[in-house]
Amino acid sequence: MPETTTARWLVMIERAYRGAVERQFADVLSLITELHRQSGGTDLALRGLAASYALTTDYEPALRIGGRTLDTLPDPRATVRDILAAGVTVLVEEPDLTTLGRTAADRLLPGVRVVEGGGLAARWSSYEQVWFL
Amino acid sequence: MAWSPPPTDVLLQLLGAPHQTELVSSALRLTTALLGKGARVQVWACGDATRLTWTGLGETKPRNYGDWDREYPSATRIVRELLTDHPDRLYWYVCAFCAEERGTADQIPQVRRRPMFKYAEHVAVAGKCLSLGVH
Amino acid sequence: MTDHLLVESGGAESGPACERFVGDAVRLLQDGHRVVLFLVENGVTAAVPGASPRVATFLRDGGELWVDTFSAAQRALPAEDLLPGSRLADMDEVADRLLEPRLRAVWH
Repeated sequence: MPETTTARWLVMIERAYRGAVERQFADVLSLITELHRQSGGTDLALRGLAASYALTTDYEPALRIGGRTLDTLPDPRATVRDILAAGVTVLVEEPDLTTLGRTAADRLLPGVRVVEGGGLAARWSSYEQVWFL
Repeated sequence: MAWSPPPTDVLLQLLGAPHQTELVSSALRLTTALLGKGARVQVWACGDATRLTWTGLGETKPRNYGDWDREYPSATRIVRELLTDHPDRLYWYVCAFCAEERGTADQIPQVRRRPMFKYAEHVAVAGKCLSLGVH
Repeated sequence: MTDHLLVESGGAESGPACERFVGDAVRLLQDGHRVVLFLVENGVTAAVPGASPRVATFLRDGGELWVDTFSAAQRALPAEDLLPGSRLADMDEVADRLLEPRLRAVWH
């Protein structure tokens, strides 16, 4: 029996890396804290390649474009840390970590919770809303 | 005499839409790398990629509620600066039909609108042609 | 024999099209051409061991597998988690290769 949650909404993100230069701060993760505030409780599930948002990396969110260094690119790990700090539960499915490389499970951001494969759907009935964003 | 496109080493045909994948970032990274090698580059934007140089985007993105005082340049400004920094080696074209169809006909002056039936002229003067993304 | 630069940007996220395209790279190798396969954007996930059977075949048949440094870091894929035989490469190297006169290039 899956554990219950006090959150009302569940946001699933599985399509990742949708335009660094044109999005900058305005990526889908940036919505989550606000949805958490408006809903009275939102959980975030990172699925597929989006699970990599929950992994540490030496990625520098900056690019050189011509003479400009664009240092305002999305920084998903920093945003996930902010989301966790706001009290959002962040979930990933274990099989997704396996597909993200041998060391992925060892690089999970502190506070991110791992559920078994299929474990997210098993929780859906405890939410008022389930959305893929 | 009719205008004809200047020769370039590479033509990047940009077909994929912004805000869907990292295609725009890749295209601008590759363009930067090619210009850094002294190459001449032309970009031909079709479909929603015509929005990258649409005047409606303005100079900056809307303010970030999480970092109110920080400025975020628009895609239009980023491309315009790249063009003005390389006036003799970088050319940016938009498909006139796509720009009309997608509501992006009002383009920055550094960009030239071209009819689709002239596309082969651009291919003919390019050393290499890469097509990025799908329409 | 012709030098080819093939660029895969989709990876498994884009469905079976990635494997088909890597299959194209394998065919070019088998026909005697030299092929560099550059994985970029979500395409870098094809360099994780087990992700793409055809990438393994491509390496076995003598192809050069380049993985975009920026895209790999962006997706939290460190070099030690990628296929032995692949190597990280940056866009400057791609530009150099693209500007070689007789090279053919295809972006997918």
